[in-house]
Amino acid sequence: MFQLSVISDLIRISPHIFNLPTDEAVLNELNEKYANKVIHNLGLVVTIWDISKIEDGMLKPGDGCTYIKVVFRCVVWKPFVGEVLTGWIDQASEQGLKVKLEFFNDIFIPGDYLFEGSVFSKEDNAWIWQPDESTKLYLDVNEKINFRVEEEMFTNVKPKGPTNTVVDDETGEKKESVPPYAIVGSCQTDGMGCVSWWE
Amino acid sequence: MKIEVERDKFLSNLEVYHHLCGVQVKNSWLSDSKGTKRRKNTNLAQLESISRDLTSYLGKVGSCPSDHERLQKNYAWDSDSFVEALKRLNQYPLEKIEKLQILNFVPRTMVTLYSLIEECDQRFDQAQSEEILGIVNDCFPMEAVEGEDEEQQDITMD
Repeated sequence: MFQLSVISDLIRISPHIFNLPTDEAVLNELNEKYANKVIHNLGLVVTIWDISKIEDGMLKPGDGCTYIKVVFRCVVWKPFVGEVLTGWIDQASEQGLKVKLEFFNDIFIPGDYLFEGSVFSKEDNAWIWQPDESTKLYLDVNEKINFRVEEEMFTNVKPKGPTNTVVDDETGEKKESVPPYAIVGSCQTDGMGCVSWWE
Repeated sequence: MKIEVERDKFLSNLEVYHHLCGVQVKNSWLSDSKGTKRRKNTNLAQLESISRDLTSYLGKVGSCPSDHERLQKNYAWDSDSFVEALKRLNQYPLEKIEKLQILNFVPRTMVTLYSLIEECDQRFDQAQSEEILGIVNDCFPMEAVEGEDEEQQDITMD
């Protein structure tokens, strides 16, 4: 679900875009700063919806830029708990399913949150739901599925410092980078799972 | 940065979709031929990628027109069917958020409708549920969905 959030910020306009009209320059700067970024505890900012207020620019001694305080509304994607979303299965593993939505890919459905009686088959590399003895329903990769949002997790991702060459590579081993915003989904009620099952 | 109001309003998928189309047209990111593609602002790569991915996603699910439909209609947008659907849904005691979900999700079957509406079986009887599905079908006819399926197949074949 998309929502509009009102945010105020101080924007720095560099001299090289002084030739643009103020609102256009501000919009460009805002889009550059916010588009496709996650705001902690808010959601994924898609784009700027409109600018409500642009104050007069301020100058700082020794700096050629102007600083403008703006109030704007932006489109934020933030599904609520219980919302039903449609996505595509990206990866399957023993832990569960990874789901992608093209623009947002940090969605995970743990095996425990799949239908009761679902098992992971290593040969097929897919989860299989057996509602009764004779039927086997496959959750294959790239299948279009519906799922319910169970939980959202924000992680405060700090900027990466310079790489320290003194420290051994041991610590710098490939760590799974934690996404700033992740969603846990479930497929347990009627209508969830592959879209084709319910048509 | 300060968040003044966390949730000012809800937006439907279609509104977001339309807004993004506007952004794309304004920045002329849609022209396929590279010659005519003029890049006024290369700093907006993030905006370009999310608007491309999100419109393509929205085109594949729910009520938004898919990419090729958009081309056919020359990016024109009509909200008539959307408004009509909302007006007709207003007759039922649905929560605002449920109406929004119906319009975003476009349920075609009883099962999907039940998954969108809480305690649907207690609040509405069979006939009413079928009427709601009927409204959805009237306002967002099935053709769009067939188009989607074709696209879907193309993707899986790739």
